[in-house]
Amino acid sequence: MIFENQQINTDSLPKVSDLIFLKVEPKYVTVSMIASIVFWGFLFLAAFILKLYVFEERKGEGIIGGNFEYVLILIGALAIISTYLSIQGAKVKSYALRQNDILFRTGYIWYKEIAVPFNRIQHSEVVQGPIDRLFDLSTLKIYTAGGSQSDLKIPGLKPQKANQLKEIVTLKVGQNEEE
Amino acid sequence: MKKSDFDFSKPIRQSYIAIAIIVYKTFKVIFRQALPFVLIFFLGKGSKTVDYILYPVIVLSLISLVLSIIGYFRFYFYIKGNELIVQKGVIKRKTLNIDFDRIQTINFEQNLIQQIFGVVGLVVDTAGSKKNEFSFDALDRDMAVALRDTILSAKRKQNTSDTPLEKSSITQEEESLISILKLEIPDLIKIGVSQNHLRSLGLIIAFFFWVGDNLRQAGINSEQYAEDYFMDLSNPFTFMLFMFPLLILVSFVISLITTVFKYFDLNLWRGSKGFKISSGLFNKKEVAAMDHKIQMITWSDNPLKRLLGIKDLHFKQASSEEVNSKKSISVAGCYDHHIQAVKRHYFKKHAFDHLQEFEIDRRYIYRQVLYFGLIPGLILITIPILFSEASLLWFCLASIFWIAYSFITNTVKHKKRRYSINKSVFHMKKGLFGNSEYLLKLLKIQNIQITQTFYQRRQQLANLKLYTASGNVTVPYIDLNQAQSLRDYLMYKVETNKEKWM
Repeated sequence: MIFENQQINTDSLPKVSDLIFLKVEPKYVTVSMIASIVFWGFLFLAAFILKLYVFEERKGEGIIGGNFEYVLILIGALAIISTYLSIQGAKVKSYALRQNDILFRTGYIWYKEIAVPFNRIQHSEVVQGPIDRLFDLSTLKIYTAGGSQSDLKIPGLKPQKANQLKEIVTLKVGQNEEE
Repeated sequence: MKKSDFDFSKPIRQSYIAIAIIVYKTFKVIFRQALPFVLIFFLGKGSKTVDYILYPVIVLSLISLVLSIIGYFRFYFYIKGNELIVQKGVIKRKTLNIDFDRIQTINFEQNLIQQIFGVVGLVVDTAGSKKNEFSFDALDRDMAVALRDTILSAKRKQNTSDTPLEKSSITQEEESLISILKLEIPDLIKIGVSQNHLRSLGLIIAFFFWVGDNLRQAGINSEQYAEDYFMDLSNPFTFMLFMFPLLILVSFVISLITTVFKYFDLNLWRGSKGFKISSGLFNKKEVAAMDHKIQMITWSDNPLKRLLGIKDLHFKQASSEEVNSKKSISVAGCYDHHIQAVKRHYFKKHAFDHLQEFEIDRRYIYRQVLYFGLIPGLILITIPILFSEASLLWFCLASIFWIAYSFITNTVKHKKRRYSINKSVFHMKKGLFGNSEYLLKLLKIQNIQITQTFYQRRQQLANLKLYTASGNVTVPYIDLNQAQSLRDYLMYKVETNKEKWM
């Protein structure tokens, strides 16, 4: 059963599925990979130090005491899976700009497609984290009144591109308010 | 409108009663903070640690009391042009300029002390700022009404050329109000009886644990006291036999009493631009829910409430432009015709024409049962296999019971989850033991998300999430094409609508 409506034929409505989505910069895949490796690397290192200095002496005590190697293996496995997923996730991230709204796709396992109409945008900003700066990338953030869960974050944009998008958005929001 | 008898152009202090209110408020805060210590004081009978804690508490509370009383004398307010100006601060003077434009609503509040002295507390809700509320502790009722009217009439004059929506801020005293609901004592009892007693039970247990924990920290063995004064609680069977019915009874009484306090003399009125709700026995509250601020209307029941035919109604409001705090106004004890009346007033005349209802996909059940029934059930069976001392039979029975329970509940949940839509409203129903319904105007939608898990992507299924400024509504497991065409349609409706969402 497909939704239909008496007044407007839904087939004639602008369809999101026909749109061409622009992918974020390919560099961003590298950035997410590095971020993931750094995070898991620190965790692994911490666990390794713990094993060398704490659990080596207490071998055989308790459940984890004797089998701390398994914890290391578990962390290693999680690191590989998580890094793989963040690479795949980075590849999914893409956006599309229409006359009246902006759309963003994200998520590899939990796929999400967010659509924000320009006439509901509160404000927008361009931010740059430390790793972003290293790779000359920026993130465009768009806020609505729908709460922090529903805010739009487009990472992996060239700073110039991010600012350009922000300007378009600001312009559109302004036009809407004038009307 | 009558000309006000008060001159607001000169700085005015609040009523002297405000001192009493301030003292009361300060003591309330101190009492809450110091409750564990007070308990220790009485139970511990002069143990040394108490002195170290109690005296600083007394000194600190005296200091804060003096400060807040000085604060009263340093608090002035007046109106200048189109601004309400408030001066306050004991050590550092602070002046607040509140533009009438930014004032969203002015609500009256009366607690017991305020009721006795015939004064009202005034809560001014403004838009935009982080700290979006500003309040007076006590104004004479006449002055409060005059102040409200002055601000409102000034606002109205200012906005005559503006959109009619903005004029609407507060329901007026002189405006004709239609009464929708008035709770009588029998209604209150019905509401009290049908509260979620399990929740009150949880609160009581949490309270006991909290007190016990504090006592233990102070070196008092509460279990020893309990044994001395009551009975031997070491036998779990006697404990269950005596304590459980007692706790149920206590929680029943508590929820009954809190209901009476909260919803005493509840009135729901309809003004021209919104609803007005007043209620409370000791804490009288009068709040306005304006149409443009209401983002969603929800109502729900539980099995007990359904038996009595009553429902809880909630007006979900966005409180300010930035929506830091979400506001929900509850009206308990609504019958179906009350909800119909609210719908009739809030929505436009033909808002519910051609409403098409849909159900969600059956695969919702299979997946829910897999994740929350089958997998936990199978894990349950592995326990006796791993630890040989546990009985396999009992675990198998428990597992089968759990899976069956999961299947039945999810079948019910699937059956109850319905959504309907037309060109102006979106309506969703869901529930398991109770029922909840969500109703919103399409123009209140802030953004829309389509989400898919791995499995859903393979099966061409999707979840549709509608975000508003006061919560979201999720429709799980619908056909991807359906989700997409709904999204396209809703986006179109939001983008072409010129009405303000707030």
